[in-house]
Amino acid sequence: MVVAIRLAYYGCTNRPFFHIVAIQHKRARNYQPLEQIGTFDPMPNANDEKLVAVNFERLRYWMAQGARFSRPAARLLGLSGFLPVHPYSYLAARRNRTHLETAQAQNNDNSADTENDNDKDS
Amino acid sequence: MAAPIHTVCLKKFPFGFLFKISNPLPKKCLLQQRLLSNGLPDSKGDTLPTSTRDVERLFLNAEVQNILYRVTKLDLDKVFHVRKQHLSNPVFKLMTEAELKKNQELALELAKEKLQMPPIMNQRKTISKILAHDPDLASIDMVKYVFTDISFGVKERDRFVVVREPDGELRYAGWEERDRMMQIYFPKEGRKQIPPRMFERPELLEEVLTRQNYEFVLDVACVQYEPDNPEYHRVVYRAYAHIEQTKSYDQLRSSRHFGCLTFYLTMHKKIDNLLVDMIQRNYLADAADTIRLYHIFHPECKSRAELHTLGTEPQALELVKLFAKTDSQKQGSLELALQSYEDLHEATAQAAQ
Repeated sequence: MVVAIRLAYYGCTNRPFFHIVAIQHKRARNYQPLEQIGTFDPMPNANDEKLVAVNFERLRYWMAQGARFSRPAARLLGLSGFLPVHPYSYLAARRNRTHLETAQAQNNDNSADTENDNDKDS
Repeated sequence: MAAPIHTVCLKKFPFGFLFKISNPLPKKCLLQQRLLSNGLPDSKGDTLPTSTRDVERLFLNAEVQNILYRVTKLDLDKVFHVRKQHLSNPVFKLMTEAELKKNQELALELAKEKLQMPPIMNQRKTISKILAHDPDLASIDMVKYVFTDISFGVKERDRFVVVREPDGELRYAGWEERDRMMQIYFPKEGRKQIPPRMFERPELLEEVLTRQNYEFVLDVACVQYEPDNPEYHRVVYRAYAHIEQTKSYDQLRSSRHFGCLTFYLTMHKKIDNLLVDMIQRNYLADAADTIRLYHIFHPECKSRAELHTLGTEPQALELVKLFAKTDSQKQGSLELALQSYEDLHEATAQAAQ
């Protein structure tokens, strides 16, 4: 059976936390893994950082054993520089940028509108 | 020359007996610092005129180490002083003379380990290496991602810690980020995630120093920071400067910090009050040792030039007198102390007769 390297969702209500695990790919999400090789904390800390710990040496071992990455795991490791950047990361980044631009444009429109209203009132 | 220095490091510099043994000085770090030396800043934070000299190399010099060890004066009563511990029943052992002697020797070895000096290193250079520019990844997230390598058996200084910024740049983590990550994933006993407030706010540090809790401050600083951390330097050198002002050297005697204090004062040519203190306590050999250290650090000084006038094996008293005449900045008080010492010894000699 194929080994998968993927994120196992732990934590509690309103507080997610992920383990990066090497596990038989047909097992349940949080089933006891072959090995836990890292963690990912999706909630930013006091210094505005999302912390990821990866045992790259063991990751290389499992890759040598023919492990496959899940998409979120591959994206995370692409960000780290260990794997090439995932195309979905580029897409997501561009999506975010366009959202930010439209939001900014809307803000500018709103502020322009309120200014006009103020002029009218006075 | 690199190999002998490295082995000295490995044997001599675990960070205190009570705390987990941290990494010794890495070879990479030593080589780097030798090329770009920063010198030893004084209490105001300015670097010395001798800023091109390698302070680390001086500290690791065998003769300097010997002098600093002798000057520290191993006092078993002070090293093993009474302190708060977990309550437990006392253990009584019945021993033969030979066993007792063996245990006493072991205790001496333990005391020597406790007196290991925290190394004096140059300030570490900022890390500013960028691994990749990726403007297409800009706004991937609103916060940065910090990736730490938790592979087994990698030295702390060699571990990879990289940061992906929101603008898509992948870079090595800076020293503060590295320290935080190392403490999260490989915590050291006694080190806090958030440094104690007396290190964050200078006025609180001054308050603690006014109370003259020097050993406490220096111990906490030693546990909290790496020896090449600029914060460590700031705190520790401020403490040394304060000790120099209040002349309370005896507090640190027979502790692991006395050697470093002597090193610092000798580097900054502020040994006069220390010498007076040593003479008043009849530690004339220590005073001579300190002057020898002064000669190693400042080979261009006048007293070294005139050393030949004292003959091949100068007496401790003669050496101190020569220093008082030539290089001392407080000649009056030093000569007064020497005079009192001589009078006292004449009086005792006469009384003996």
